[in-house]
Amino acid sequence: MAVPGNLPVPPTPSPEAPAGRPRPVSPADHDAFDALVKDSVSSVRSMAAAWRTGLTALITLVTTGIVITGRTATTSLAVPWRAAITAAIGGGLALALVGLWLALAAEVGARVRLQTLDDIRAHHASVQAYLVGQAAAASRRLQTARTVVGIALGLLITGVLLTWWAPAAPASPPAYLEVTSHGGTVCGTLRSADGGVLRLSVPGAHQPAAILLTMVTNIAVVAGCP
Amino acid sequence: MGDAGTAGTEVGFENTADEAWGQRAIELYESRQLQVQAFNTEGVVSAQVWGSCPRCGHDLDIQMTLSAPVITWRGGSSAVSRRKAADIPNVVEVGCGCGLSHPGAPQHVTGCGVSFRLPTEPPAA
Repeated sequence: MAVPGNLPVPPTPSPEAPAGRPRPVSPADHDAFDALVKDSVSSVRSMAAAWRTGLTALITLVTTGIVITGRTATTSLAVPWRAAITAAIGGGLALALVGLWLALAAEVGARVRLQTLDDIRAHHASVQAYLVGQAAAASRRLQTARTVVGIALGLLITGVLLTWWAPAAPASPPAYLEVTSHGGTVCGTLRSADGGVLRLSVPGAHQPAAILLTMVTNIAVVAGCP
Repeated sequence: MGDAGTAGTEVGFENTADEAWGQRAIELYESRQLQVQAFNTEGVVSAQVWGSCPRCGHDLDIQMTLSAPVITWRGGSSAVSRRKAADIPNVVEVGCGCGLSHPGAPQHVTGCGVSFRLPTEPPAA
């Protein structure tokens, strides 16, 4: 920093020294801070690389669980719940991608720009200070990446928990039966067909319609009853 | 003190932060023979000091980076956020960085050994 080379320690003020006397900085501290400044870019990039690896592993773990569970967990859910789970997991995956992109950009840089020495000197005292600025920018980007990935993981885990606790959609019959017998045609959902009697729940009727199987001339599966 | 401001390698090395040299540095600073320019760009504080050394009189040109991102193990919000970044300090500590070897200096040490503080604000016109 300010003291060049390996200058020895300036005289340390005694306890009786005037209160206004500045506290000297030892050359060892200057050298240590210089080393800190010089290593800042590489150390921040190493940190970004480690975080990127860790965040990737976390996201892989969570998304693998979601993929294994698959859509079977959600197809039986009611539409509003399914929409909520889709939003949570979809949003989580999108944010995870953004977060990993930011972590990658923090590690290796995002853009290449042409700079002149004058450009750098206009805003910094030295090229070294400019490099420290780049390291600080990488740190900020990594911090943003961590925040975004944290939100993404929260959304993904919320999506998974919703699949565990969301109530199943009420079962609906896949089709109606239209039974033709000598007495006419009856349409409804099948309740039972035992004891030689076919029972159908007919919309609008409290009691199921009973038809002797021996009387049935035709049974057709239809999408709806007239 | 006594050989102030005369350029020449004959000024012996002395590790000193004597008030007198500080005063001399302030005089040079006020007469703009010793200048400081400080920067705070997106939280990175740096400064450049150039002019005459108050003790040996040689030309100085010192570039200092006054803040650096440090990896910590404490949580919380980003310590490198622009809002929380350190501001330009009122004074900077400067050591003679004339780049010349002075008699009596330890091996590989350049400069006459004086250190002093300078304000970062421009001197009053």
